[in-house]
Amino acid sequence: MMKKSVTWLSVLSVSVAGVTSLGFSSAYAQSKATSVKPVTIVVASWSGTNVTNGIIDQQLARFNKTHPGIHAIYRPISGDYETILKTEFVAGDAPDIITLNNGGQAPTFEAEGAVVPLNSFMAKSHYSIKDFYPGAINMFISGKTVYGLPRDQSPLALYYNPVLFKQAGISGPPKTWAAFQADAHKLTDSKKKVYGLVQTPQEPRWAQFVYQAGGSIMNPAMTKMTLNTPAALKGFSFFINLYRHGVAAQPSEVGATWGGQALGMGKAAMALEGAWAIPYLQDTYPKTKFAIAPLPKGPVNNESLDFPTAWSITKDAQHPQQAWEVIQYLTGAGEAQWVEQGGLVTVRKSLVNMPYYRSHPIYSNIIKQMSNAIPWTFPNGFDQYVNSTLGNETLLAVEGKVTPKEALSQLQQQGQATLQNGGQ
Amino acid sequence: MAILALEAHRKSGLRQWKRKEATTAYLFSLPTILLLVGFSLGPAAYAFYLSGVSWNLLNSQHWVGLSNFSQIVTMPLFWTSVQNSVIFAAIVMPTQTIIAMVFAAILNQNLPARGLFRLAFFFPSISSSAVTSLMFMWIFNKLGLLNGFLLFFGVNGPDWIGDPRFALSAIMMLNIWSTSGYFMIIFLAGLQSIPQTMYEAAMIDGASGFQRFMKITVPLLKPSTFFIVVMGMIGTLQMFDQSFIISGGTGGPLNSTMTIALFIYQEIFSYGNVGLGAAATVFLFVLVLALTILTNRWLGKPIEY
Repeated sequence: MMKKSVTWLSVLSVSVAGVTSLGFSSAYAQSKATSVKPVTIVVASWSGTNVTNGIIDQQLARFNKTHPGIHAIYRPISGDYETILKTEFVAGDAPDIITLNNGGQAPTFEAEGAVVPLNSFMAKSHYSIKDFYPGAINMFISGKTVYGLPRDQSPLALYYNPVLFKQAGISGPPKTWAAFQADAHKLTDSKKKVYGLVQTPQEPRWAQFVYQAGGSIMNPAMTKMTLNTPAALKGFSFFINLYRHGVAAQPSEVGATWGGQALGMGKAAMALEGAWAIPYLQDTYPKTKFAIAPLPKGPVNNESLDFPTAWSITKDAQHPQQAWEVIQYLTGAGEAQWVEQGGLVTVRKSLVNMPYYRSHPIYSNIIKQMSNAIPWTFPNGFDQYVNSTLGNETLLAVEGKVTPKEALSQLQQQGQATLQNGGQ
Repeated sequence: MAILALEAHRKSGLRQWKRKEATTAYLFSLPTILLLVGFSLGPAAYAFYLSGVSWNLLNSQHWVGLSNFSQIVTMPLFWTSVQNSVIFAAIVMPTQTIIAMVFAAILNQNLPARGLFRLAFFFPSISSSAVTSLMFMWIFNKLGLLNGFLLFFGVNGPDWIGDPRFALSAIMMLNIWSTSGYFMIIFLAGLQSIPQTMYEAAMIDGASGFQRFMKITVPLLKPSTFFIVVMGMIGTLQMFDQSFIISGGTGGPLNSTMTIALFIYQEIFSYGNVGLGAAATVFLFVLVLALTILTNRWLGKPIEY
């Protein structure tokens, strides 16, 4: 069964790519029969978001109009993006340009040499990275080598339902941890299955509490786990105790699959999500009112977690120079503004004052949160740790089968073991 | 002399004819042989080779011998997946076999709207398992159909998919529902081949309906039962898609829906441990082979009337 579905997908993607390239080249041949055949650059990303389902197509169409020697084609990858990409690398058929994701995926592709350094291209084109938010680009730089240029990002912010707040007699969104907890209590109505917070118990939804308590997940060089500190325990316990006190719930308990959906269903008074939830809520639950506030402040700060993505050139690219031109265009100030319409926020400081944000004030608190947000990332070899270990220990703590301290010491120990194995 | 020569000529002609016949046969089966070697046996052999290498898909392979096997047997997650798969097979396979047999026997009677019922029971097996998994996610939703039904009887249903104690049972129900119909059709075909005279003779001897089912139907369905038990066992031990979709590819909550096939998929494609995944594949192959041989000893004997 497994083999079947995987081959199916690759066959499908190959045939789709084949059909589109055929269609394009024949159309091209008709219009410009005399000139040299343009170089084809395949651009890949995951499917299923507003940015990747439409906006990239429009951007590449504009690019192709102004760059006659290059023909850029978008190939969305549906399903398990990194997995399918890896099999395409094995087949030697990887796209020329791919999107690097957060959560430890970028370091994996970088460390294995699947993507190439961009420094020489950047030097030749005098491309400056100073305009990018550090939270958006730092994750894609290793030492001095730049592997990816930021496409979009979003920090977590506090989504809330103002109607439920009003009913509970709360005037505004909580600004501190204490208020957050107290409000969650007031907003919970377990009979109606409405909870103060509905959130999947996972690390990318509690790491920011650790930062807010003055702790961290790993040291900045990512050579050591730092989950055994009192600050880390304080932040993690705060998150776990919301569930233990019955004021936070897992999405499945209210019949949802993620926090944003529970908010839309009116089952959650608050949820911690990024900008991706804005178009989702507006389209799927137009009747539910929601507002966005900065994260409540913890003992030390109100640091958030950021989820940036970047464009990158693969080692299989036959025409890296042309691929670079595509990336340069996509990440340039002229095109970087388009990600807004897909519910993600800009990676360029110079674009935060653009008209789109003034006419869409819902984004203002997400943009405010951007200046203090830490990118969500892990070193190479942490796939299993990120996908399974973190979630399992968090779930055990939420269910009360282990104490927050025991869960963190397990995570510390297993993370150290993963580091010692050197990414195996 | 002449007769001998003629005889020799005839013999060589026969040989020639046989050789020609064999060549033609092989030529006709060549497309299938090529497909089988290229897409089934070849990859299977390659999986055996991969079980001895260390490779993460993006780097180069190097030979590590049997160390992948010694590594997986010390992994708790591997034994969790084996345990889940074996429990899953041990419950689902007998249940689906019994349900399929009973429903086949009932639908073999002259009931009104028989065709409609046959269609309804067969329908799950012609629907895509991705679609039925999504459908069951709605049924098993905490506020879904099943819990609404249970609430009608005053039972407060659990969080079927989110609770590690119930997630595997939810997939079991889904699997039984989706496979019983297909096996029912095989039993129905088996029922057609049981001579009607036996039932008549038993009726004259005064055997009740239940006795006729237990003493005639069940034993004479043995060839079908053998096929269904073997196919059911292989299918349940290799269950992947339903776990994958219901857990979102993680095998969660808390690895409660982690099956061997999902473990293999995760190790190879998600975590880049191709060697470990291939070693688990070899383990699964040996397990299925051994159980199939045992079943063959138990059910594979020809029937004696």
